[in-house]
Amino acid sequence: MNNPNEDRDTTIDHLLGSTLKRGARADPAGACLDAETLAAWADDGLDRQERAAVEAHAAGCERCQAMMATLSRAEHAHAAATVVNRPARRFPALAWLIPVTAIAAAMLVWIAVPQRAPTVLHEDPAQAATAVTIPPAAPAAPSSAAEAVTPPAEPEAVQKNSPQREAGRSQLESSNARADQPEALEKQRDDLRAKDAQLADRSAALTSGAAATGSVTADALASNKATTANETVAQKSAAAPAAASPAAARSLRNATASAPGTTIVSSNPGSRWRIVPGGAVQHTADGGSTWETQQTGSTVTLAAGSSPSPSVCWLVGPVATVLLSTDARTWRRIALPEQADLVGVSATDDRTATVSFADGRTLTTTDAGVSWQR
Amino acid sequence: MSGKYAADVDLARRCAAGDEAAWERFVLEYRPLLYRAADAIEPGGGARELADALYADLYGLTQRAGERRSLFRYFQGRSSLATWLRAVLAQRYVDRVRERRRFEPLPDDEERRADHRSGTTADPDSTRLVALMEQAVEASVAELDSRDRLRLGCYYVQELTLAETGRVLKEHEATASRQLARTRTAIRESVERRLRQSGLNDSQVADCFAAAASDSGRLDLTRMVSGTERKESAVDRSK
Repeated sequence: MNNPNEDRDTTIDHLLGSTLKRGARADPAGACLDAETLAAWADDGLDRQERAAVEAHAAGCERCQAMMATLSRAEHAHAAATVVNRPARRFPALAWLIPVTAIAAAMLVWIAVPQRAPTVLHEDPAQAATAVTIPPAAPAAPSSAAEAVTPPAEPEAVQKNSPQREAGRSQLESSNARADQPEALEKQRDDLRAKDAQLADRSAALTSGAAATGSVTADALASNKATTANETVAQKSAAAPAAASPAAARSLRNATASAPGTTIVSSNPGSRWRIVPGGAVQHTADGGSTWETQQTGSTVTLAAGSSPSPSVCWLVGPVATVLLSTDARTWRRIALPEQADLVGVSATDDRTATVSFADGRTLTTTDAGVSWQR
Repeated sequence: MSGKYAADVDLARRCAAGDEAAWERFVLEYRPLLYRAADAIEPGGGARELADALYADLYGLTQRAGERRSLFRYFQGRSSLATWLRAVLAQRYVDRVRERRRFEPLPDDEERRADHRSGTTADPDSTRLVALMEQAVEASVAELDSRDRLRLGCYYVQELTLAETGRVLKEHEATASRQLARTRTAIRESVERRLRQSGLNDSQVADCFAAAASDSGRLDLTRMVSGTERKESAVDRSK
């Protein structure tokens, strides 16, 4: 035997269907909802009183109930389509998973791709027997699809006559040759130590800037690994012993992102820029076989760059220097609302970029620098 | 005008003024959206013609005193342009369904008489009890607050599912279910109280409920009358 109240509730359930239909056919008080009000109701654009009035009318109006139901169905379909197209916006709390997943994927690539043969560096005859392996840059620093790596600062003649991929070997040979000159080697070592100290400071700021942008791709990271392994090995010969430790390797990796001589690789690795002292840059469109020096209009040495496509490159530097090229030839300076040293930039196209200050703050533009937002 | 939708209002005004570039942008951005809404409203594609007709009104094909009259002039920015377009589409769709229902032929007389013979109880006392019940239900529903009545309307009149009812009321499906159960209980208690207040004792109240439960003929008749409506309902409860 069922609970009598449940039986009676069932009876009420049956009666409600017919009773409400009859009641809903009667003309309700007030005018029916117009599309403007209906849409405002759906978008939560009504205040409490208006919403109460809308619901009071619709409660007794079959037409408005049907309109609400129909609109609700259309809105639901739209929301479902939006979720399919933009899953990250639907679950903003999980947005942090994107960079984490990218980093994890990059780590997998890092492990899966066979390591290059260790490079043996000889500082001087006394250390010639000591082989030090410089670990390739680990995947964490780059803040966009275009990554920054630091090749050795080469003489112009060398740059034009030898391919980019030979640069490391040339530098290594050069380093070995200098090993016969203890004084020159000692001077070079001191210079590099000083640079390392400077770059380690910048790396902290870069890391925070890169974290703010949060767009890291596995491809870029993998590319970073390969390019860095090619181009930075020899330059850091003096720092090699320190680089053997993880902390030193991190410092080395971050330093490559912002030092003068930084190479900015676009989404097409054949197109790259290289920062040279004095505010100029060099561009190659053939993967580093030939380099063309370009004047940017800046007189200060730039710090970092980002190239989201072969023809687009953003450069930043001290005293709020932001430069943009959209044709891979000419540069225009973009005004920034704050005057401070910039140490990083991450761009997604010729309109959208995020620049990082040395103190970790960031500014973003989505209109090619016309306006900036924190 | 809400600043939140200022860009939408600007686009609508430029479209209304005949700005071709604005209209091209509108078509590019909103045409897929409107078609998606039309397909969601009627998956068979029956609402697409309404969407196309809406484009003509938005463009302003009709002229009054030499001036192009665009539907955009009614958009005031109290919602997003996308929601407003869906609301206009929903409004036109519902009106078309109601218009068609008006011309729906009634069932044949013979069929109606057969339904009546098989369904209607001959017991006049039972009929009186059922009528008492219905009056009590109507009065009990009338004293509910509007949100509860809207929820009942969505579920019983529009025949939405619990999930759809919840979406209309902007509440979770489980909440809609609980609220409907609570409202039904409140109505039942109110009906019992009203029947007692009208002079019935507990036994007679029980008879009223029993008569309503067994009054399949009357319920069937109600369903017959509203059958067309159910078939034409804008929203299929099973979906």
